[in-house]
Amino acid sequence: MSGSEPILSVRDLSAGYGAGRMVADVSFTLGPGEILCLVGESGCGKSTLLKAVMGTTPGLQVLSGEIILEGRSLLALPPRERQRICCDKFGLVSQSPGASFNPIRSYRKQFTETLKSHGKYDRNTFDAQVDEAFGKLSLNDRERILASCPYEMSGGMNQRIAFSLALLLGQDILLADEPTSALDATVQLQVAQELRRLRDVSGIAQIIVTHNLALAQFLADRIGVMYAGRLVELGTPEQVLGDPRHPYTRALIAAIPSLQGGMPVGLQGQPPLEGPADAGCEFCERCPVCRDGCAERRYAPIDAGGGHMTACGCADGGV
Amino acid sequence: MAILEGKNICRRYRRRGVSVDALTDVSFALEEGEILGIVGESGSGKSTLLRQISGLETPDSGELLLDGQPLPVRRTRENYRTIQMIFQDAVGSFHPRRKIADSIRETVRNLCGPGLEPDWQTLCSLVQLPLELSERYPRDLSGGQCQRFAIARAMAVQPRILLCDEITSALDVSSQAQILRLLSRLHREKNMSVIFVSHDLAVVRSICDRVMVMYNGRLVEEGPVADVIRSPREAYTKKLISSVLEVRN
Repeated sequence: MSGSEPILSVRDLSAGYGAGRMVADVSFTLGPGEILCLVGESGCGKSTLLKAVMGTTPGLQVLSGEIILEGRSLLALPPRERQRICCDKFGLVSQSPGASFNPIRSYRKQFTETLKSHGKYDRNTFDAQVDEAFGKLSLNDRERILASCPYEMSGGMNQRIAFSLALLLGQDILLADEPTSALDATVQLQVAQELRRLRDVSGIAQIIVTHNLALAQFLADRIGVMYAGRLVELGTPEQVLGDPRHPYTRALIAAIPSLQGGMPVGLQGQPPLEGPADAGCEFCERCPVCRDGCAERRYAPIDAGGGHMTACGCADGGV
Repeated sequence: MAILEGKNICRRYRRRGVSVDALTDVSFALEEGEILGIVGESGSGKSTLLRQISGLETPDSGELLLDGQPLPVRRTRENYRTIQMIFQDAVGSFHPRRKIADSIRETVRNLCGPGLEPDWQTLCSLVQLPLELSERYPRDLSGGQCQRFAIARAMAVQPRILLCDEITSALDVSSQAQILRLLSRLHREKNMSVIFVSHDLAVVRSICDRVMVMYNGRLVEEGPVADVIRSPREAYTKKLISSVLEVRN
């Protein structure tokens, strides 16, 4: 992944509903076939960032910044053209397994409609295309699945079928919003393995929003940690989880329960409801290493080496 | 003596001529001051069992004993006071068009007597939330804050047994840790007995004394939580443990 041209570049992106910012100054790149996991607490802007990149959520506006997809600036395009490109290139899988499909309409009808709306339906090759997509995800018995309705399927199965639709449409980037959080532990693992396989067999790059750090470690090539609408740490799983630099990342790791026992340590307080601040560090009030001046001063992203970025100047070895 | 016992609880659902055995001969005992975990996949019968205990549903057969006495089919107010339940969907468990304080007040008046007012200061400090948040609507609070108020609502009637149905599974890890610590503190300070249902074994490991593993409506394994996780006997328990994703530092 490293070394190749990014398929998607997000630069200094700020977005929100109306004038209020929910996401501020977020920058990252996504390489071909790369899996980027965005983690953080509820309300930290992970899903808003995903929707801002997708660009199809009514009322959500990009306030500043750039989204470059395969060399083209999406925000410079007319809205219809942008929507066409986004629908062509981005696949979206939502948190609720039932929400991706109409629960009482057969998969065959929904697959056909979706392919037709993308101008990719060919009656003669449809079955073979589905066979190929299902085969890559080890979904057997095409006819039975296509004849079924989503309400008849388990949550994990629905998610896998949603992934297969992205394969059928030939999309380059899968955006998945908490794809496993509504599922049982056993099914979570299965779906996580399918996401990895999806990348391995088809090269689809993925941005996965999750609050499950273990899932992020299992899946990701890089992990981005978000807090109050800002990306506060970015790096490989080894860097972010093995050598976390931002105090918020450390707090998140300490909050994870373990099979070894012991009570997880929760962060006190709540993230700011009003989203990113204009000045100063948003984490200051909850931060155990906060210094004088942090409430007024914003640190520029610091490169901790090897592409490991942190937005905290108080981190170990920091300034 | 166990504070709560279940003996051979069975529950069958019938829909359009099809019967599903949601619970088959489930027996358990909850000791005073114990946190008993119940784990299993969706559809294994965990939540169904809690619904029978809470009185939301009535078992087809079997017996539920509170302090050695059978719980009546028609529960009394005292029964409801003694056993309180907290749900997964904290926001949905409050009336969407009533302020949180009004919902809690209604529960207290229904179960403890008309005209009674909860001790707001004690209640809010118990769940470590500022008093003014109770004057908000559920939609104006985070999932974690709402879940704390759901715990406050249950605690307001001074129950002896808390039934927790996946109360942290809709929360992020940070809110989850806060709720687990809160529950652990309440259990310690009030000597509360708790049944804690979850599909997350790591969460159960962190808070429970004993664990019951359910599969397909049956109890397949039980024991001290550390022992069950260290040396599971049943293949299903082994599968559950092996599917837990853990962060490796």
